[in-house]
Amino acid sequence: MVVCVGCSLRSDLETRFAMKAVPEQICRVAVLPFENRTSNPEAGTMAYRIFYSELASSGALQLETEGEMRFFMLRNRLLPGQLLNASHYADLVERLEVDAVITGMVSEVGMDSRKAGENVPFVAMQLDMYDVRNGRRVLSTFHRRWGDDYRKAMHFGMVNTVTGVMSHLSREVIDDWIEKGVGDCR
Amino acid sequence: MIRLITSRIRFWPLVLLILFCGASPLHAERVALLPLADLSQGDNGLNLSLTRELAEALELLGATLVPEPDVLSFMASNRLRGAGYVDSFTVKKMGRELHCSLVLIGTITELGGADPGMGLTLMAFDAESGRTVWAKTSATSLGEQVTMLGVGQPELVDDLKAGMFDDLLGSLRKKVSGRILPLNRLYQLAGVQVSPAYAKGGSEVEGVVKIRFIDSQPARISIETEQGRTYLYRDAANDTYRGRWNAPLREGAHSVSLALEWGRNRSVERIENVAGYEVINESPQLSLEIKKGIQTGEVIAFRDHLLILPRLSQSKPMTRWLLEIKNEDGEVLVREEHEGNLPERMVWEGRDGSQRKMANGTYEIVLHAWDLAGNHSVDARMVALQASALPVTVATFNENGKTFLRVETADEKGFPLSSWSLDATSLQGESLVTVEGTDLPVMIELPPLNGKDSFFYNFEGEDFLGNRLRMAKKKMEVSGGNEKPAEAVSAKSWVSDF
Repeated sequence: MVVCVGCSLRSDLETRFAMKAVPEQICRVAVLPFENRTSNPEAGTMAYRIFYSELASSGALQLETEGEMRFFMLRNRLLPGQLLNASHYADLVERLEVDAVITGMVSEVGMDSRKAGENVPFVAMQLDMYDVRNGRRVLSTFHRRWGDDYRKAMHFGMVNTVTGVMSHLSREVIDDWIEKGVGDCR
Repeated sequence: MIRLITSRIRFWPLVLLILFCGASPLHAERVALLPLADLSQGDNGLNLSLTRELAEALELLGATLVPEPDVLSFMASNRLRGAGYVDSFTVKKMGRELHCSLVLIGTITELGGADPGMGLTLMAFDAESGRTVWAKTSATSLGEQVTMLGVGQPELVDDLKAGMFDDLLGSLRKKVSGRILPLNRLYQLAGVQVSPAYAKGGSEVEGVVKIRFIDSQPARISIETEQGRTYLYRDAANDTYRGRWNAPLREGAHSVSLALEWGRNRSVERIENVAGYEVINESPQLSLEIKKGIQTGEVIAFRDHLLILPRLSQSKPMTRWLLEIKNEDGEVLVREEHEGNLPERMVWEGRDGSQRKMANGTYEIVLHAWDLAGNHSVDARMVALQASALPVTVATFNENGKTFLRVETADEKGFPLSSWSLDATSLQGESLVTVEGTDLPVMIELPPLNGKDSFFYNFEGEDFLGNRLRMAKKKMEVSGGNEKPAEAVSAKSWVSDF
């Protein structure tokens, strides 16, 4: 008999939409560099590139390039995680013609070695979307995943890389957004 | 027991080759691949070696790449540090200046780790609009690649690359224009094995082909030999194609080609000389050379050890060999059977399989050998072991009033002494007689003993193998007629010279 450990698809995915949010009006977005609150110095860039690739792959939204956003941050002397003000939003609307910005914060990244002698990667991220036309938050999502959340039986299905967990987590967040109306651009 | 002294000859019957195929289109649009960012080396790390491997994989898909020096030169002149600095303006500029229609950037998000793994994210930009047209992330680790019974399981991070590139580029191909990545008949021929590598004419030979296809698969795959075409069947369990045919009767090397039949019209694509095998009909022509012994007539005599030197008329790899040593009754006392090539030489110290010293006598050494084609050859030599000198008897007898001493070999089987000496003294120490000789038996006349009925004698002898016999200060009673011969004493064998 095969014992299925961790088969229950437990999920900490939680997306809250603003009362007056109209996600259908968001077509073109910019993803700002992610804030990194972990001890892994590359976690922010890693999460950013993976989330960006998953969002581009979904085809739900038009995306501004990472390079463009770096110039925006440089131009406005902004650091990842720093709150945007009205002038920043104006800049985004005028210069980049985006409808919304996505900000991200990586709060947990690592390998958990307490689970039955295995090294299980885990990731937790917070993602927010702001409508740049009025500066209001559209949605906010928090999601956390462990590599063994995807285990089917024995070692099969288990995700052993942080990249893999980030990729799965990003896809789940994006699918949740799409399900709730994001990307249904009018 | 036999000690083997082997050479370092090794034989590899498996032919392995890696062959990538896929024709480049005549008017393919160019792709600019930027150096991959490598986060495992820090935020500003670049990985040129993996970039080049990815470039090779892209070229196998039929892509025409902007040469790496041109890309690096563009990056330097535009102060472009890496993937994170590519904006839509730069992409468009790249398209104009590098004459490409697609810009590909990527990041190695992970490389190595506790469970060694790899993560790679790739993004493609349309060089005309500057927009992202495709993106994908792929990640895996050795721990995720555990296969049933460990068959084909990757062992190194490098082994993960091919699968990851296949995953990413397969997805890219679906998204981008056929002018950038044209659909080709793409395959990777990983290996062809023909076994046995040496076969008898007419015997069955098996071919195993390991080949991977990216897009479509050929309708049929066959192996072409002088005998004709053999269609291969798919062995799904081992992810290979297999087929059998009979080897030709003609001796010599035979090559095989692979034929891929594509499409409905079965157009044949041939890959020549992918492997080969050799037909051998003649037996290995084995002969035995024995050293450290002395040839005496039909046999080779020895007293301590023999060197057995197997000789082959042509140097050929063997599958196995068998050495037997039999006594005169045909009973096998030593048996050594081994797989592989014959040793350069073997040493036999006259002991049986249980390391017991064998008795003096005649033995037959028989050596069998089988080559890789199964041809058998045998040779034998008769040898005689004599580890100690044959005993002698010394006796007196009277004839015509004279006393004689008779010395003769006690045992007729074996090699007699080739030189000997005897001296006799009275009980008071006076020398009676001193004689030396080479042949036995011999009769030696003794001087008158003046009524004394006993004396002492010393005897020493040596056979032609160097075994010595010594009888010192033996007392001999002189009797009137039927005297009892002195007890035969054989010397213990000498310590080996070796």
